Amino acid sequence: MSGLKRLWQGVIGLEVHAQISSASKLFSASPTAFNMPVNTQVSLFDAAIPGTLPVLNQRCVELALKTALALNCRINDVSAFDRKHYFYADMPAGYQITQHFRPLANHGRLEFYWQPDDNDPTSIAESVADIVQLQLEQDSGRSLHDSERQLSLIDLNRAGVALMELITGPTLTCGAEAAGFVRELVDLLRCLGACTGSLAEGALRVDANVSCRPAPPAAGGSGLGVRTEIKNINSLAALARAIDFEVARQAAVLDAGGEVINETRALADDATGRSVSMRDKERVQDYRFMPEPNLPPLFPSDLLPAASVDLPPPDQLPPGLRRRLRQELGFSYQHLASSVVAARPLADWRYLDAAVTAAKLSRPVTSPHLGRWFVHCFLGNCFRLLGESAAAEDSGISVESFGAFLSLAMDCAMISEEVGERLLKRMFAQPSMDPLAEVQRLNWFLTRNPTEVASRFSQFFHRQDIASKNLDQLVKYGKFKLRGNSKKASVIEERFLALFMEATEYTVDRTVAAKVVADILQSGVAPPPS
Amino acid sequence: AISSGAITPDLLRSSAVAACRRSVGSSLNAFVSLAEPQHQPPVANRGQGSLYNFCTAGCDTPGLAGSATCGSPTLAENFLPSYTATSIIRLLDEGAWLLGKTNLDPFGMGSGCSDGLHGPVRNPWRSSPCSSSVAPDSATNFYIAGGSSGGSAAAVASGLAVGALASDTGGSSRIPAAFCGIVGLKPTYGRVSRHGLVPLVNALDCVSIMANTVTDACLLLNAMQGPDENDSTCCPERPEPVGWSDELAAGLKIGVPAEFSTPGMSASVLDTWSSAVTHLESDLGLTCLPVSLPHTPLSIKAYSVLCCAEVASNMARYDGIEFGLRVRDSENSVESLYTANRLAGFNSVIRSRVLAGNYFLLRRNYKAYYEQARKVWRLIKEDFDRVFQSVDLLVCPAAITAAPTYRDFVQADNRYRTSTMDLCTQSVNLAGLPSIVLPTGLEEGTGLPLAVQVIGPAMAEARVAALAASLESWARFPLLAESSECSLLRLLD
Repeated sequence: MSGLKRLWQGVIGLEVHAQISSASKLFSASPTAFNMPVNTQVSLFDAAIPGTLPVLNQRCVELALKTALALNCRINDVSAFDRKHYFYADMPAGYQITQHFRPLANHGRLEFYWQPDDNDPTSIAESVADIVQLQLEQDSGRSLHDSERQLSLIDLNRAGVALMELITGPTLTCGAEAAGFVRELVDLLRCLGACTGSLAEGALRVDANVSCRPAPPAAGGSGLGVRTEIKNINSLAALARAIDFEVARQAAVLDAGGEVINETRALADDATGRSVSMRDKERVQDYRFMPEPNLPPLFPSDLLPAASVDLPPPDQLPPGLRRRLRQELGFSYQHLASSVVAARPLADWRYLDAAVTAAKLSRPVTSPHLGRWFVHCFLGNCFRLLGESAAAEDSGISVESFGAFLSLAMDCAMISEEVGERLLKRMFAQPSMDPLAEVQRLNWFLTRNPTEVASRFSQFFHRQDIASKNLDQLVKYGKFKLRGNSKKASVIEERFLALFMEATEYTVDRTVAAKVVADILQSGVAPPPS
Repeated sequence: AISSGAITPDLLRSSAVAACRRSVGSSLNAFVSLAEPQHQPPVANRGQGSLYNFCTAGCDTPGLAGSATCGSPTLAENFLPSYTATSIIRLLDEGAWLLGKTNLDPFGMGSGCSDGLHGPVRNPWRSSPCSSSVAPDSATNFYIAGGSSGGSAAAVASGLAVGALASDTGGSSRIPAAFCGIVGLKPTYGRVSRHGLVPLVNALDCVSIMANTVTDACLLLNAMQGPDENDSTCCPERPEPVGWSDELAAGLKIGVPAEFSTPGMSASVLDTWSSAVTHLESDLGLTCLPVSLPHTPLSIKAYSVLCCAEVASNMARYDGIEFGLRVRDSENSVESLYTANRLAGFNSVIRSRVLAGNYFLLRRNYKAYYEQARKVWRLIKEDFDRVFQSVDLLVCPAAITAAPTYRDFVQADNRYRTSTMDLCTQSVNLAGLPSIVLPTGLEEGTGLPLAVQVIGPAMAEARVAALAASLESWARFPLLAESSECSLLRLLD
């Protein structure tokens, strides 16, 4: 932050509301399908008709517990529901059933990575977020305001849908870090099947609590500054910008000797992150929490078996999986950030693992090429040829075949990258193909022996079309060489090299070929064809 | 007469319906609406089931499809419940015939059944229940039926219905039963499903039963009790049907709670109490011990806090937006909408409880009031638990006086009334225990009924009923319904 007298750092905590992917609502049997005609998914209880009572949806608890386990939370022995009172037309009962006094779980953590420098994709930082609390609560309905006709319209389809609220500790420092956290959380929730994670559809909502303090923190004071809450955030990019805008705004206020006011702000401009104060009430809302008398206390340990039955082990959840892919299989962050990687079914990673084993590659795989072959080439082909939702196995290419391919392409470097790509495409067209046999049949192995390469080059060089078309180049080359202009000379060498590589269909080792080309050109004399 | 075939169930029913029709709008004012044909039992069940000759009235609170509810302007218009309460469904399944819905205090708040939208209910004792002509007593000097479920009590006492449903949160079925000289049965909390019962205090409310005899009350209970997937606070397993043999009452140890005797208790109530205890001791040879429930004086204070807090919460939904009363031209702003509708819909009793309840729940007050009340609540329960380790049942009064006159009753406000009249009843609600009230005598001078209450440990309805039945046959109380002109009981054998 330029132009300020001191350095300030942002202190950010997030409140995430995730709609749980259950077929019916948290306390009633209404369906939860998205985008249905208004007020068609409303039970008597959802509309707060008197005399109706809540009945807890076990599936919602299971999915929330599954999420809590995946986040390494401490599951509480006893959990209970409470009423949070406020008047709003989209909440018919006049209160929301939530968990205030005894939530489901506390003290979890989520590892994630993020990009501190917008302009440098290789600047990657790893962070850990604290999940302070995880609780269940009801969603509210939706209200639409028609100011022209002075009408407010209420749709209760969403009223009572199950939400998981996750509250992080104030350990995030900037917009990019917060966005990285949310991205990782969304991956995790999708992997668990607990939430679709769509910010655009409103299945996931994020509010940010932002404050500032001096950097480094003042001696003797680990206190936090006054915070503001930002709402109305609909995308990851908007989240990052809104946070950064607010941190800058608060820093300017504090730097000038002013005070930050504790208030709620609404994001007004996605492009700049500018938010505006929603300070329409001077008083603080008192929600008058009261235990919900119609629901007996919950003993989460009773539901843990059901919750963990299909919980993937830590190294198959996004943070652990990512660590394993990087440390054990040599993937880079760029590979991991690729859009074809996000939300890959776990079966795909098992496929890769099996192929690596079949290829007898030694672990850890340090070469970054595995990531490239699998993510860009293999999954890329899957995506292009078989569609967005295709899994690795849908290619029809067996684990052994892909393993054989990897043996060729990686450890032994028996084939060039370009050949590898062509080979893989052929394998997709004919999945039963044996890659080694195919390479042999087409004679696609890399030629590395300098003599052989030289021989092939001379054959190439003496082709009528090459010699005649490039006569002027050769003349220029001679001139450059005489004048000592090695830079321009090497450009011409590059040109011949490129033509040569293409002509051989990339079956010669590039380094060897480069030297051969240079030698032959410099010698000025092409040896006769043998 | 039924068993001899002289009267068919259908004739019984049509007589009952005719009598009820005459009584709507009469000075008795017990019924507020009559049941429509679609509320009656499915054809297959008619003439069968344990309740086939039961003509019952439903208290205005349990939701009944198609008829307006609650004795309050809030739900009197523009609201027809589209579902039926579980308790009523079960009665209908057993062949009961629903006559209609009875009068009550608004949303069940009141001890006199005097504040409802439809006006006060007269105690059928010392008034003429069936004709709509002017009763001997004047317009303001009748005896009250008691509340909040006074309509149900009046209907049963006057013989218009054989049984009736009520709700009991602090005594609101037992007090009217005592005043009207009938049996009132409040089951263990959770024994009967609350689905369809418009809540006053969710943590304490019980669907309760009024009938003229203990046997009838238990018949109704047996039809309704049991788990309901719509109510998460309902018992998880079906209880045994309540029945008893004489042996059950033998050898019981009876506790006489010392703290239930107060200065406000009338001499006639005290006499009734002691003569019942004396009978049990001397005639039946049961051991009767004084017992102590030391936290009883705190009970009403804890109850007030808990009740007001829940009322504030439960009434939050009445905002005039989705259903119910909406005052015309109130929609200038959200604030004016809420204000106008809630002001018009709630009487002063409800409003004062809402305000008090919200006060107790404020963050700065929660610990000192609400949390403290919950702790006292546990102490009350523990008092009863401890006492039931040394005795099997408690015998005590229900109401502290016989029925007061309307003129006397309205001298004091609701808060005072609740704090004094409910002394012997509301701690039973806090402890969630079963209780039966039955009439055992008439007061000298006024000729009004006096009653005794039997309280048991949780789910011990059979034991409670056994003792109550024993007292009932000893008391030989002259049921009003047996002498009343329009009474159904005179038709039943």
